[in-house]
Amino acid sequence: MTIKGPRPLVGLGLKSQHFEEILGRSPASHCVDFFEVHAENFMGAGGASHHCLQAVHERYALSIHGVGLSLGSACGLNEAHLARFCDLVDRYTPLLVSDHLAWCRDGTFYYNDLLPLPLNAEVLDLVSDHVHEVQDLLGRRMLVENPSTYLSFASSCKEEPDFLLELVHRTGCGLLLDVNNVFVSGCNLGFSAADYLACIPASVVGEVHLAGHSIVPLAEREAEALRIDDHGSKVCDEVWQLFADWLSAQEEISHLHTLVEWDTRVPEFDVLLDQASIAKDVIAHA
Amino acid sequence: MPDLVQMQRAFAAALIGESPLAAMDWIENEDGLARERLFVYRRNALSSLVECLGGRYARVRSALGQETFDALARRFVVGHPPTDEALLHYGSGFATFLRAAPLPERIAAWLPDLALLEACWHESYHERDATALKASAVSQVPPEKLDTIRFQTHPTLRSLSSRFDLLRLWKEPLAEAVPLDCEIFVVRRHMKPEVYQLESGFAHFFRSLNQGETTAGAFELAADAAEFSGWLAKLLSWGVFSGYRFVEDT
Repeated sequence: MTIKGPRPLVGLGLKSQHFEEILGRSPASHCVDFFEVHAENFMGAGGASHHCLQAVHERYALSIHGVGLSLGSACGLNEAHLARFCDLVDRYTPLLVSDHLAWCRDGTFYYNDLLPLPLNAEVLDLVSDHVHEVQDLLGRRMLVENPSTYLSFASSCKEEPDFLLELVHRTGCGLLLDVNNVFVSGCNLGFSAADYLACIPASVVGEVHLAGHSIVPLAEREAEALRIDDHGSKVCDEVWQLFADWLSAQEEISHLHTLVEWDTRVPEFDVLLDQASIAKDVIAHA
Repeated sequence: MPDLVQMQRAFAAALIGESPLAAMDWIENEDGLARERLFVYRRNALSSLVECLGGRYARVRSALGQETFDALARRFVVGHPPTDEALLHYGSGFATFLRAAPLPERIAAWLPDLALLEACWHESYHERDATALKASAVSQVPPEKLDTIRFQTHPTLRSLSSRFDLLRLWKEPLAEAVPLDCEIFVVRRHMKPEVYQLESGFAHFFRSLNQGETTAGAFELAADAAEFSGWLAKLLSWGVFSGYRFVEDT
């Protein structure tokens, strides 16, 4: 691995509980280079959330991460929501813009979860059209994140890495590679996370996500469990190892930014800083 | 595309609707765990929305207790799934829902008002920023035009009428409710909205200006010029108005 030119940045998810502490500290006093926000949390017209985000924006780079574009909705994109998303990107000029390979709304309702898609030619056409539509409106490249999944569909006929690489090829988008999601999905669906990661070259990845997950025993078979991607704990050892191994296999990672997410049971800011510091060490030693 | 449309329709019914197994035909079930896998999504969708309502209606949750609140919130979510990807205002109809819900008798009369106040607070929190009208701006109005002022309310202002001392319940949701005819409002001058409660003549005075009455009309509700000036000064200091026009201009 070589680092040329710009260095890979390390970021944290921005939580409202930490606003004061982040703004009270000098950026030089810790290892965090950028903060990521969920776009939909900043779609109010004004008030404290925009005030705080603007203050963070003046000190750090930002990443705007959507959870509501619903790139896989059969009913099409919600134009009004897409317009709000673009307004937010225009307002904060973030370093990175992303959303998920998922769907979360039908023609009427929004389901507040990243729902799975069958991976086949029909869905690839649909998602490609939607990514084109978003990028055309944004006037820039977006990143699409691999989801964590708990089930698979009978109508799937493509492997997820192949699907994502074809999406990149067709649209020019980049990937947001969530290593925890790969691990969670691999455990839940019975594929090798290492094999999956070996298919994804860093050249198509703009950002890496790392997060914690929980293990929930199955009601029907107590000896077995599902991994739930709840972003409520430290990154586990297996995910750190997968991240390190994947980085080591890449030739060039200077463009690759890494984010630690923590969205539920949010701890003290110092706990998140420790996770960011570990990420920085892993990158430095890859 | 018809396959995907049907699959997503069935999946949606499995998530929040009353058909939790609706999507089973589309899911791989070689290991016999499709039902349990599908239920992960149902649990996530429902619990995240119940949690969202719990954060928005924290005082209502305190008054009801976590278990009762969660059961009611779950019924609300099933009947009123979100339609907007930004959940900032999700649950704005919760107060109306509570008016028809089976609530403990001790709190049934005032709990919907407290829910409405919490909804007002959240709306105010996210409303667009605006500079509040200062008293000094009103003091510069020529005396002959003072009667013809019609104030523009601040965009973050939200108000409601209640028959209970809501401010007390806002501060202590487990307190005993005290009957009181009042006007209660929320307004945001800086980062966080503040809650104010007015009674008797002052409440009528506020309501009349909020409904577009002129200063001359509102003056009729005050006992004398001193009371009028005092009430107006308080409303201005709380940031209730963002501007004014003269009647002939409107």
